[in-house]
Amino acid sequence: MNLVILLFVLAAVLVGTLLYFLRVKDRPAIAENAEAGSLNAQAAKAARHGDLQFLGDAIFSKGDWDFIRGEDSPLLTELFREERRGLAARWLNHSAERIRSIREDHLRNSRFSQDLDVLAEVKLLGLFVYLITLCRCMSLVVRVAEPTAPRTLALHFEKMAGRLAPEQGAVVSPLPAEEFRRSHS
Amino acid sequence: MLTQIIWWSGNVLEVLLLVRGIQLNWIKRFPLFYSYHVFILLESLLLFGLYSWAPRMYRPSWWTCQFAGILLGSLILFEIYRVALGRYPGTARMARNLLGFVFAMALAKALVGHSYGAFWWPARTYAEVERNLRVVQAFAILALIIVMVAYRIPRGRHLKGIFAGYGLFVALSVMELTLSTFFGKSFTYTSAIAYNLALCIWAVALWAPEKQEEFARTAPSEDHLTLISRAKEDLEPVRLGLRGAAGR
Repeated sequence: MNLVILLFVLAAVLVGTLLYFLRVKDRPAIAENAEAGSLNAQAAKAARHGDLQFLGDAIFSKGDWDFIRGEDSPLLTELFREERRGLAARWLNHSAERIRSIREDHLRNSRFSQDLDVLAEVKLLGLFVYLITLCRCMSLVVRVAEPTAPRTLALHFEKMAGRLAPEQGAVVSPLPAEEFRRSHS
Repeated sequence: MLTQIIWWSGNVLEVLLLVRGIQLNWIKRFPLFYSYHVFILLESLLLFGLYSWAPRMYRPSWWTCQFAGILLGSLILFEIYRVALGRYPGTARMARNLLGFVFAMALAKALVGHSYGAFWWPARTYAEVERNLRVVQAFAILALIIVMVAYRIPRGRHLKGIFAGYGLFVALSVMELTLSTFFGKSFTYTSAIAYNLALCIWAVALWAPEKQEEFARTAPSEDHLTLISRAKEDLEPVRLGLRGAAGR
Protein backbone atom coordinates (compact mmCIF):
# COMPACT_ATOMS: atom_id res chain seq x y z
CA MET A 1 0.00 0.00 0.00
CA ASN A 2 2.89 2.34 0.84
CA LEU A 3 4.35 1.79 -2.61
CA VAL A 4 1.00 2.64 -4.22
CA ILE A 5 0.84 5.93 -2.32
CA LEU A 6 4.47 6.69 -3.12
CA LEU A 7 4.00 6.09 -6.83
CA PHE A 8 0.83 8.16 -6.88
CA VAL A 9 2.72 10.98 -5.18
CA LEU A 10 5.46 10.64 -7.82
CA ALA A 11 2.89 10.84 -10.63
CA ALA A 12 1.24 13.86 -8.98
CA VAL A 13 4.62 15.57 -8.56
CA LEU A 14 5.38 14.89 -12.22
CA VAL A 15 2.07 16.41 -13.35
CA GLY A 16 2.55 19.41 -11.03
CA THR A 17 6.10 19.97 -12.28
CA LEU A 18 4.92 19.72 -15.88
CA LEU A 19 2.26 22.36 -15.25
CA TYR A 20 4.87 24.61 -13.67
CA PHE A 21 7.20 23.96 -16.58
CA LEU A 22 4.48 24.99 -19.03
CA ARG A 23 3.59 28.11 -17.08
CA VAL A 24 7.12 29.46 -16.65
CA LYS A 25 7.71 31.89 -19.45
CA ASP A 26 10.69 31.82 -21.76
CA ARG A 27 12.93 34.81 -21.55
CA PRO A 28 13.94 36.40 -24.83
CA ALA A 29 17.50 35.50 -25.61
CA ILE A 30 18.52 38.96 -26.73
CA ALA A 31 17.05 40.77 -23.77
CA GLU A 32 19.09 38.53 -21.51
CA ASN A 33 22.30 40.30 -22.43
CA ALA A 34 21.13 43.67 -21.27
CA GLU A 35 19.50 42.21 -18.21
CA ALA A 36 22.60 40.24 -17.26
CA GLY A 37 24.70 43.34 -17.68
CA SER A 38 22.47 45.40 -15.47
CA LEU A 39 22.44 42.69 -12.80
CA ASN A 40 26.20 42.59 -12.79
CA ALA A 41 26.36 46.33 -12.43
CA GLN A 42 23.87 46.24 -9.57
CA ALA A 43 25.75 43.50 -7.77
CA ALA A 44 29.05 45.32 -8.21
CA LYS A 45 27.51 48.52 -6.90
CA ALA A 46 26.08 46.75 -3.88
CA ALA A 47 29.37 45.07 -3.19
CA ARG A 48 31.09 48.46 -3.23
CA HIS A 49 28.71 50.03 -0.79
CA GLY A 50 28.60 47.19 1.69
CA ASP A 51 25.16 48.43 2.76
CA LEU A 52 23.87 44.99 3.49
CA GLN A 53 26.49 44.27 6.09
CA PHE A 54 26.03 47.59 7.83
CA LEU A 55 22.23 47.38 7.84
CA GLY A 56 22.23 43.77 8.96
CA ASP A 57 24.39 44.61 11.92
CA ALA A 58 22.38 47.71 12.80
CA ILE A 59 18.89 46.23 12.46
CA PHE A 60 19.57 43.18 14.59
CA SER A 61 21.78 45.00 17.07
CA LYS A 62 21.43 43.58 20.56
CA GLY A 63 22.92 46.74 22.00
CA ASP A 64 20.00 48.84 20.73
CA TRP A 65 17.54 46.36 22.13
CA ASP A 66 19.23 46.36 25.55
CA PHE A 67 19.25 50.16 25.57
CA ILE A 68 15.51 50.39 24.81
CA ARG A 69 14.70 47.80 27.45
CA GLY A 70 16.83 49.78 29.89
CA GLU A 71 14.51 52.76 29.39
CA ASP A 72 11.76 50.66 30.95
CA SER A 73 9.00 52.13 28.77
CA PRO A 74 6.49 49.61 27.38
CA LEU A 75 5.35 52.09 24.70
CA LEU A 76 8.90 52.75 23.52
CA THR A 77 9.68 49.03 23.55
CA GLU A 78 6.62 48.26 21.45
CA LEU A 79 7.41 51.10 19.04
CA PHE A 80 10.98 49.91 18.72
CA ARG A 81 9.89 46.33 18.20
CA GLU A 82 7.47 47.28 15.40
CA GLU A 83 9.99 49.53 13.71
CA ARG A 84 12.74 46.92 13.80
CA ARG A 85 10.37 44.19 12.68
CA GLY A 86 9.43 46.16 9.56
CA LEU A 87 13.03 47.09 8.82
CA ALA A 88 14.27 43.56 9.32
CA ALA A 89 11.58 42.11 7.04
CA ARG A 90 12.44 44.57 4.26
CA TRP A 91 16.15 44.00 4.68
CA LEU A 92 15.75 40.23 4.55
CA ASN A 93 13.54 40.44 1.45
CA HIS A 94 16.09 42.65 -0.18
CA SER A 95 18.88 40.20 0.69
CA ALA A 96 16.90 37.27 -0.73
CA GLU A 97 16.25 39.22 -3.92
CA ARG A 98 19.93 40.03 -4.23
CA ILE A 99 20.88 36.36 -3.81
CA ARG A 100 18.29 35.36 -6.40
CA SER A 101 19.54 37.87 -8.94
CA ILE A 102 23.16 36.72 -8.45
CA ARG A 103 22.02 33.11 -8.89
CA GLU A 104 20.14 33.90 -12.10
CA ASP A 105 23.08 35.85 -13.43
CA HIS A 106 25.43 32.95 -12.70
CA LEU A 107 23.15 30.28 -14.19
CA ARG A 108 22.61 32.35 -17.32
CA ASN A 109 26.36 32.55 -17.85
CA SER A 110 27.25 29.00 -16.94
CA ARG A 111 24.78 27.56 -19.48
CA PHE A 112 27.40 28.18 -22.13
CA SER A 113 30.41 26.87 -20.19
CA GLN A 114 32.31 24.25 -22.10
CA ASP A 115 34.22 23.26 -18.96
CA LEU A 116 31.42 23.22 -16.40
CA ASP A 117 32.65 21.71 -13.14
CA VAL A 118 29.58 19.84 -11.92
CA LEU A 119 30.73 19.48 -8.31
CA ALA A 120 31.63 23.16 -7.96
CA GLU A 121 28.31 24.09 -9.57
CA VAL A 122 26.34 21.88 -7.20
CA LYS A 123 28.21 23.33 -4.21
CA LEU A 124 27.44 26.86 -5.38
CA LEU A 125 23.78 26.00 -5.93
CA GLY A 126 23.77 24.58 -2.41
CA LEU A 127 25.17 27.86 -1.11
CA PHE A 128 22.40 29.78 -2.91
CA VAL A 129 19.77 27.51 -1.44
CA TYR A 130 21.32 27.80 2.02
CA LEU A 131 21.40 31.60 1.94
CA ILE A 132 17.86 31.98 0.56
CA THR A 133 16.54 29.49 3.12
CA LEU A 134 18.34 31.41 5.87
CA CYS A 135 16.70 34.65 4.69
CA ARG A 136 13.25 33.06 4.55
CA CYS A 137 13.59 31.48 8.00
CA MET A 138 14.86 34.74 9.48
CA SER A 139 11.88 36.57 7.93
CA LEU A 140 9.55 34.10 9.55
CA VAL A 141 11.25 34.43 12.92
CA VAL A 142 11.16 38.23 12.70
CA ARG A 143 7.39 38.07 12.19
CA VAL A 144 6.64 35.73 15.07
CA ALA A 145 9.35 36.57 17.64
CA GLU A 146 11.58 39.36 18.85
CA PRO A 147 13.44 41.34 16.15
CA THR A 148 16.73 40.15 17.62
CA ALA A 149 15.70 36.49 17.54
CA PRO A 150 17.11 35.89 14.01
CA ARG A 151 20.53 36.38 15.58
CA THR A 152 20.20 33.03 17.32
CA LEU A 153 18.78 31.43 14.21
CA ALA A 154 21.52 32.79 11.98
CA LEU A 155 24.14 31.55 14.42
CA HIS A 156 22.50 28.16 14.43
CA PHE A 157 22.49 28.09 10.61
CA GLU A 158 26.12 29.14 10.51
CA LYS A 159 27.03 26.37 12.92
CA MET A 160 25.08 23.87 10.84
CA ALA A 161 26.84 24.93 7.68
CA GLY A 162 30.19 24.77 9.44
CA ARG A 163 30.95 28.40 8.76
CA LEU A 164 32.07 29.28 12.26
CA ALA A 165 35.75 28.62 11.73
CA PRO A 166 37.75 31.37 13.48
CA GLU A 167 39.58 32.37 10.32
CA GLN A 168 36.26 32.82 8.54
CA GLY A 169 34.73 34.77 11.39
CA ALA A 170 37.71 37.09 11.43
CA VAL A 171 36.80 38.29 7.94
CA VAL A 172 33.81 40.11 9.42
CA SER A 173 34.57 43.17 11.42
CA PRO A 174 33.67 42.67 15.07
CA LEU A 175 32.69 46.35 15.39
CA PRO A 176 29.34 46.98 17.05
CA ALA A 177 26.59 48.81 15.17
CA GLU A 178 27.39 52.14 16.83
CA GLU A 179 30.91 52.04 15.47
CA PHE A 180 29.63 51.34 12.00
CA ARG A 181 27.28 54.26 12.20
CA ARG A 182 30.09 56.62 13.10
CA SER A 183 32.32 55.31 10.38
CA HIS A 184 29.57 55.87 7.80
CA SER A 185 28.72 59.42 8.81
CA MET B 1 -17.36 -0.68 -29.32
CA LEU B 2 -15.54 1.70 -26.95
CA THR B 3 -12.31 -0.20 -27.58
CA GLN B 4 -12.77 0.23 -31.32
CA ILE B 5 -13.42 3.99 -30.97
CA ILE B 6 -10.35 4.52 -28.78
CA TRP B 7 -8.19 2.38 -31.04
CA TRP B 8 -9.27 4.04 -34.31
CA SER B 9 -9.12 7.58 -32.92
CA GLY B 10 -5.59 6.89 -31.72
CA ASN B 11 -4.56 5.71 -35.17
CA VAL B 12 -6.19 8.69 -36.87
CA LEU B 13 -4.36 11.09 -34.53
CA GLU B 14 -1.12 9.24 -35.14
CA VAL B 15 -1.51 9.52 -38.92
CA LEU B 16 -2.48 13.20 -38.60
CA LEU B 17 0.63 13.88 -36.54
CA LEU B 18 2.88 12.11 -39.03
CA VAL B 19 1.31 13.78 -42.08
CA ARG B 20 1.67 17.21 -40.49
CA GLY B 21 5.26 16.37 -39.52
CA ILE B 22 6.08 15.49 -43.12
CA GLN B 23 4.26 18.58 -44.48
CA LEU B 24 6.11 21.00 -42.23
CA ASN B 25 9.35 19.05 -42.28
CA TRP B 26 9.43 18.53 -38.51
CA ILE B 27 10.77 15.06 -39.20
CA LYS B 28 14.21 16.53 -39.73
CA ARG B 29 14.04 18.49 -36.52
CA PHE B 30 12.62 15.69 -34.35
CA PRO B 31 13.68 12.46 -36.11
CA LEU B 32 13.52 10.27 -33.00
CA PHE B 33 10.12 11.58 -31.97
CA TYR B 34 8.63 10.78 -35.38
CA SER B 35 10.41 7.40 -35.54
CA TYR B 36 8.66 6.56 -32.30
CA HIS B 37 5.30 7.44 -33.84
CA VAL B 38 5.98 5.42 -36.98
CA PHE B 39 6.81 2.48 -34.73
CA ILE B 40 3.63 2.92 -32.66
CA LEU B 41 1.46 3.14 -35.79
CA LEU B 42 3.02 0.02 -37.33
CA GLU B 43 2.81 -1.81 -34.01
CA SER B 44 -0.85 -0.91 -33.72
CA LEU B 45 -1.66 -2.22 -37.19
CA LEU B 46 0.39 -5.38 -36.62
CA LEU B 47 -1.36 -6.10 -33.33
CA PHE B 48 -4.74 -5.51 -34.96
CA GLY B 49 -3.84 -8.04 -37.65
CA LEU B 50 -2.69 -10.58 -35.07
CA TYR B 51 -5.79 -10.03 -32.94
CA SER B 52 -8.02 -10.67 -35.96
CA TRP B 53 -6.18 -13.53 -37.66
CA ALA B 54 -3.84 -15.10 -35.11
CA PRO B 55 -5.26 -14.44 -31.61
CA ARG B 56 -2.86 -16.89 -29.93
CA MET B 57 0.08 -14.78 -31.05
CA TYR B 58 -1.49 -11.56 -29.81
CA ARG B 59 -0.63 -11.68 -26.10
CA PRO B 60 3.16 -12.37 -26.35
CA SER B 61 3.45 -9.94 -29.28
CA TRP B 62 1.65 -7.25 -27.29
CA TRP B 63 4.16 -7.46 -24.43
CA THR B 64 7.14 -7.47 -26.79
CA CYS B 65 5.81 -4.40 -28.62
CA GLN B 66 5.00 -2.72 -25.31
CA PHE B 67 8.62 -3.00 -24.09
CA ALA B 68 10.02 -1.94 -27.44
CA GLY B 69 7.67 1.06 -27.22
CA ILE B 70 8.96 1.98 -23.77
CA LEU B 71 12.56 1.81 -24.94
CA LEU B 72 11.80 3.86 -28.04
CA GLY B 73 9.77 6.27 -25.88
CA SER B 74 12.92 6.97 -23.90
CA LEU B 75 14.36 8.30 -27.14
CA ILE B 76 11.80 11.12 -26.94
CA LEU B 77 13.58 12.24 -23.78
CA PHE B 78 16.88 12.06 -25.60
CA GLU B 79 15.35 14.13 -28.41
CA ILE B 80 14.25 16.80 -25.93
CA TYR B 81 17.72 16.79 -24.40
CA ARG B 82 19.34 17.08 -27.85
CA VAL B 83 17.09 19.84 -29.22
CA ALA B 84 16.74 21.92 -26.07
CA LEU B 85 20.27 21.71 -24.72
CA GLY B 86 22.27 21.43 -27.93
CA ARG B 87 23.22 25.10 -27.78
CA TYR B 88 23.94 25.09 -24.05
CA PRO B 89 26.94 22.84 -23.35
CA GLY B 90 27.09 23.77 -19.65
CA THR B 91 23.46 22.86 -19.00
CA ALA B 92 23.79 19.76 -21.19
CA ARG B 93 26.66 18.58 -19.01
CA MET B 94 24.65 19.17 -15.86
CA ALA B 95 21.68 17.29 -17.36
CA ARG B 96 23.90 14.36 -18.37
CA ASN B 97 25.18 14.08 -14.82
CA LEU B 98 21.71 14.28 -13.33
CA LEU B 99 20.32 11.70 -15.75
CA GLY B 100 23.37 9.52 -15.08
CA PHE B 101 22.57 9.73 -11.39
CA VAL B 102 18.92 8.72 -12.02
CA PHE B 103 19.93 5.73 -14.15
CA ALA B 104 22.66 4.72 -11.69
CA MET B 105 20.10 4.73 -8.88
CA ALA B 106 17.71 2.63 -10.96
CA LEU B 107 20.49 0.19 -11.79
CA ALA B 108 21.57 -0.01 -8.15
CA LYS B 109 17.97 -0.73 -7.13
CA ALA B 110 17.71 -3.42 -9.79
CA LEU B 111 20.97 -5.04 -8.67
CA VAL B 112 19.93 -4.99 -5.02
CA GLY B 113 16.60 -6.57 -6.02
CA HIS B 114 18.44 -9.18 -8.06
CA SER B 115 20.79 -10.02 -5.20
CA TYR B 116 17.72 -10.74 -3.06
CA GLY B 117 16.57 -13.22 -5.68
CA ALA B 118 14.00 -11.06 -7.45
CA PHE B 119 13.67 -11.49 -11.21
CA TRP B 120 14.21 -7.85 -12.06
CA TRP B 121 13.89 -5.27 -9.36
CA PRO B 122 11.16 -6.44 -6.97
CA ALA B 123 8.94 -7.15 -10.00
CA ARG B 124 6.91 -10.33 -10.29
CA THR B 125 4.85 -9.58 -13.38
CA TYR B 126 5.38 -7.91 -16.75
CA ALA B 127 3.13 -5.06 -15.64
CA GLU B 128 5.42 -4.44 -12.67
CA VAL B 129 8.48 -4.35 -14.91
CA GLU B 130 6.73 -1.86 -17.17
CA ARG B 131 5.71 0.23 -14.15
CA ASN B 132 9.30 0.27 -12.92
CA LEU B 133 10.56 1.40 -16.31
CA ARG B 134 7.93 4.13 -16.38
CA VAL B 135 9.03 5.25 -12.91
CA VAL B 136 12.61 5.60 -14.17
CA GLN B 137 11.28 7.62 -17.12
CA ALA B 138 9.29 9.82 -14.72
CA PHE B 139 12.45 10.58 -12.73
CA ALA B 140 14.35 11.30 -15.95
CA ILE B 141 11.62 13.76 -17.04
CA LEU B 142 11.74 15.43 -13.62
CA ALA B 143 15.53 15.75 -13.85
CA LEU B 144 15.32 17.33 -17.31
CA ILE B 145 12.61 19.77 -16.21
CA ILE B 146 14.60 20.82 -13.14
CA VAL B 147 17.71 21.51 -15.22
CA MET B 148 15.81 23.36 -17.94
CA VAL B 149 13.86 25.54 -15.51
CA ALA B 150 16.88 26.27 -13.29
CA TYR B 151 19.06 27.31 -16.22
CA ARG B 152 16.24 29.23 -17.92
CA ILE B 153 16.59 27.26 -21.14
CA PRO B 154 14.31 28.74 -23.82
CA ARG B 155 11.56 26.28 -24.71
CA GLY B 156 9.39 26.78 -27.73
CA ARG B 157 5.82 25.58 -28.12
CA HIS B 158 6.99 22.41 -29.85
CA LEU B 159 9.32 21.32 -27.06
CA LYS B 160 6.77 22.21 -24.41
CA GLY B 161 4.16 20.18 -26.27
CA ILE B 162 6.38 17.13 -26.67
CA PHE B 163 7.37 17.32 -23.01
CA ALA B 164 3.80 17.84 -21.77
CA GLY B 165 2.39 15.02 -23.89
CA TYR B 166 4.98 12.45 -22.94
CA GLY B 167 5.14 13.56 -19.30
CA LEU B 168 1.36 13.27 -18.92
CA PHE B 169 1.36 9.87 -20.60
CA VAL B 170 4.13 8.61 -18.29
CA ALA B 171 2.40 9.99 -15.17
CA LEU B 172 -0.94 8.40 -16.09
CA SER B 173 0.81 5.13 -17.01
CA VAL B 174 2.52 5.02 -13.60
CA MET B 175 -0.87 5.52 -11.91
CA GLU B 176 -2.61 2.92 -14.09
CA LEU B 177 0.12 0.30 -13.75
CA THR B 178 0.32 0.87 -9.99
CA LEU B 179 -3.41 0.32 -9.63
CA SER B 180 -3.41 -2.69 -11.93
CA THR B 181 -0.57 -4.38 -10.02
CA PHE B 182 -2.21 -3.54 -6.69
CA PHE B 183 -5.71 -4.74 -7.60
CA GLY B 184 -4.49 -7.49 -9.90
CA LYS B 185 -6.63 -6.46 -12.89
CA SER B 186 -5.78 -4.34 -15.88
CA PHE B 187 -7.24 -0.93 -16.67
CA THR B 188 -6.66 -1.06 -20.41
CA TYR B 189 -8.88 1.92 -21.25
CA THR B 190 -6.94 4.26 -18.97
CA SER B 191 -3.67 3.62 -20.74
CA ALA B 192 -5.22 3.98 -24.22
CA ILE B 193 -7.06 7.18 -23.24
CA ALA B 194 -3.87 8.60 -21.70
CA TYR B 195 -1.99 7.91 -24.92
CA ASN B 196 -4.73 9.50 -27.03
CA LEU B 197 -4.63 12.53 -24.75
CA ALA B 198 -0.89 12.77 -25.31
CA LEU B 199 -1.47 12.48 -29.06
CA CYS B 200 -3.96 15.38 -28.91
CA ILE B 201 -1.39 17.52 -27.06
CA TRP B 202 1.31 16.64 -29.59
CA ALA B 203 -0.98 17.31 -32.55
CA VAL B 204 -1.99 20.73 -31.21
CA ALA B 205 1.57 21.72 -30.24
CA LEU B 206 3.10 20.61 -33.52
CA TRP B 207 0.29 21.76 -35.79
CA ALA B 208 1.70 25.17 -36.67
CA PRO B 209 5.26 26.39 -37.09
CA GLU B 210 6.62 28.32 -34.15
CA LYS B 211 8.45 31.58 -34.41
CA GLN B 212 12.14 30.74 -34.58
CA GLU B 213 13.77 32.56 -31.73
CA GLU B 214 16.80 34.53 -32.67
CA PHE B 215 19.68 32.87 -30.94
CA ALA B 216 21.98 35.28 -29.23
CA ARG B 217 24.98 33.41 -27.94
CA THR B 218 25.98 35.17 -24.81
CA ALA B 219 28.92 32.92 -24.16
CA PRO B 220 30.97 34.35 -21.34
CA SER B 221 34.65 34.86 -21.96
CA GLU B 222 35.60 33.47 -18.53
CA ASP B 223 35.91 29.79 -17.74
CA HIS B 224 33.53 28.12 -15.33
CA LEU B 225 35.72 28.38 -12.24
CA THR B 226 36.06 32.12 -12.81
CA LEU B 227 32.27 32.36 -13.05
CA ILE B 228 31.98 30.45 -9.77
CA SER B 229 34.42 32.70 -7.97
CA ARG B 230 32.70 35.79 -9.38
CA ALA B 231 29.34 34.56 -8.08
CA LYS B 232 30.91 33.88 -4.68
CA GLU B 233 32.44 37.35 -4.72
CA ASP B 234 29.03 38.86 -5.50
CA LEU B 235 27.49 36.84 -2.68
CA GLU B 236 30.07 37.99 -0.14
CA PRO B 237 28.31 41.27 0.88
CA VAL B 238 25.06 39.37 1.40
CA ARG B 239 26.79 36.70 3.43
CA LEU B 240 28.59 39.30 5.50
CA GLY B 241 25.27 41.06 6.03
CA LEU B 242 23.62 37.90 7.26
CA ARG B 243 26.61 37.17 9.44
CA GLY B 244 26.32 40.70 10.75
CA ALA B 245 22.75 39.88 11.69
CA ALA B 246 24.16 36.97 13.62
CA GLY B 247 26.23 39.44 15.59
CA ARG B 248 29.61 38.44 14.23
